[in-house]
Amino acid sequence: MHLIISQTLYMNYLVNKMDDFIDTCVIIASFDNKDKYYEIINIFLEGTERLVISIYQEKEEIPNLFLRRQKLFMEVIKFLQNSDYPIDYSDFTEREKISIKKLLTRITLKQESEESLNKMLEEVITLRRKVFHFIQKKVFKKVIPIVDIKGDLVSIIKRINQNKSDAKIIASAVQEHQTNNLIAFTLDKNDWKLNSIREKIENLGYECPEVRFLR
Amino acid sequence: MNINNKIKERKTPEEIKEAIILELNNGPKGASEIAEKINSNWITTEKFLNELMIEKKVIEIISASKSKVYGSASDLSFFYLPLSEEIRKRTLSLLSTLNEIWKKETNTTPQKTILQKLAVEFVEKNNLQNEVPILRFHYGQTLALRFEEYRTTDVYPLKDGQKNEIRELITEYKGYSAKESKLKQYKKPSMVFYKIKEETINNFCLEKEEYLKKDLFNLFANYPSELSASFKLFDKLMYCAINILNIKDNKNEYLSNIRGAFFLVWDCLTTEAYFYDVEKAISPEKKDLFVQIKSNYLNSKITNVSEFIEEIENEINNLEPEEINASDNLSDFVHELFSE
Repeated sequence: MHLIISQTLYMNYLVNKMDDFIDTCVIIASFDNKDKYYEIINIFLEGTERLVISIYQEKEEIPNLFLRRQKLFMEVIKFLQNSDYPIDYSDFTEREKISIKKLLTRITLKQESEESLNKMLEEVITLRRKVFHFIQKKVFKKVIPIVDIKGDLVSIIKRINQNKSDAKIIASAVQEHQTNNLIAFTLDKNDWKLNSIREKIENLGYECPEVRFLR
Repeated sequence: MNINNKIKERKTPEEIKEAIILELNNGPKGASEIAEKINSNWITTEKFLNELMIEKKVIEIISASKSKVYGSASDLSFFYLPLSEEIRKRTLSLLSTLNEIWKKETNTTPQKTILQKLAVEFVEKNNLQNEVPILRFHYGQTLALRFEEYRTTDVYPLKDGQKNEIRELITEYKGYSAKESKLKQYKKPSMVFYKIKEETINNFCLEKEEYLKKDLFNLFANYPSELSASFKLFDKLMYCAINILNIKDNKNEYLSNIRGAFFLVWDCLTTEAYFYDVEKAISPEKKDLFVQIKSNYLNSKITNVSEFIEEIENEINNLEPEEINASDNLSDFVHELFSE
């Protein structure tokens, strides 16, 4: 089984250029000049012709990420307008909850105003446009329909990162790799550690793509 | 004859049709429910329902083959909702009584918007919301029924002092135009979202871009969180509008499109607000029908508007970086927020 997959990949490698599957954090960091890897990422992206992302990233992960980050500001602005406003934390991740609390402290210390919060909200909205412009204009291919993402693969990947959303992105990359040879690029050293589960993935009949960390 | 069978009176076709309409004026029903209420059989009832539909007096509001639901074209509730009979009676009699007092006091007939706004204020002042619900809709708060003078009803039982209170309200409201009575209502803290929307629309029309961005953020911050079905649409609208304001040149065409989209999204989210507020006025046995009507109206509105907004969104996403003001220089907080 492995031999057949490897031979297919090798043939693809010979006839095709490799596709570069990119994680969402790579796209976002390319628009943030405070990011340590801003320049490296932009050099990498400029030199890459066949950028690939998953349909799941385009249709669910990225829209939901921006929606939550915008809601984060909406909630704190409501608190700023009325200090009795009960913040609804239910939609947020643990990291986002910490960010909300930081902002609430700064509001209480009068270090943030409605104007400064609106400005940050506008930065998020502008960043969102850049990310979707990038997806529309620079991404060569969006792969694996969401309904076709394999549940068994997602379950195994979720064991290393506990994040279902990331697991679906990685599963999409793995599935796409079976027909089109690709290398996955990310900044996220924790969630893309496929080595520890490589054997389990291969036991399901999938070849793991190479993962490169852009840092 | 089976003893359990009801004795059916012989009625003329016109009498049957009139009875059907009277039933449907009290809310939507299926053919068998109507047949039972008017003491007729299902086949006859359905035959006359079809005739009434051709005459445009009856509307099929749920078209499922086995469970069609019909409404009267002259039903005074918005969206032919199955409001409880008591709420219909109370609401209509209050509107009618206010209308009569207005006519006596001023020798004029009140405009419908003004009558509704006055009624809302009266209901709120007297804490009557449980028997006469107040609902948010496109132009602010209203009662659950439209008012038509030709529909006769009982007089609303007013308590001591309430008549004087109504006279005082009439003295105030007779000086208002429909728009002024609407704006008066928007001054209430609970209506701040509507007030900001009004300011946003004004600044759109006057093309006051410097205020428009502030209005949009204000709208964002005051979005009623309970209106979850319309939020994605609203978010896309705000996303497009704020990005359009950052376009360097030739943004007028985009602004005019987004203004059109604004009205469509407003229609969706205030329809959702109406359904959200009216739910408490629906009798429990009609909840399933209510949910069906709500999803029919709301989903089709949201789908239509989504297509329109997504077209604008695609155009905005296609703009090249040089066409739009936006640097890669994020603030420390936003940088941290997005750093993995």
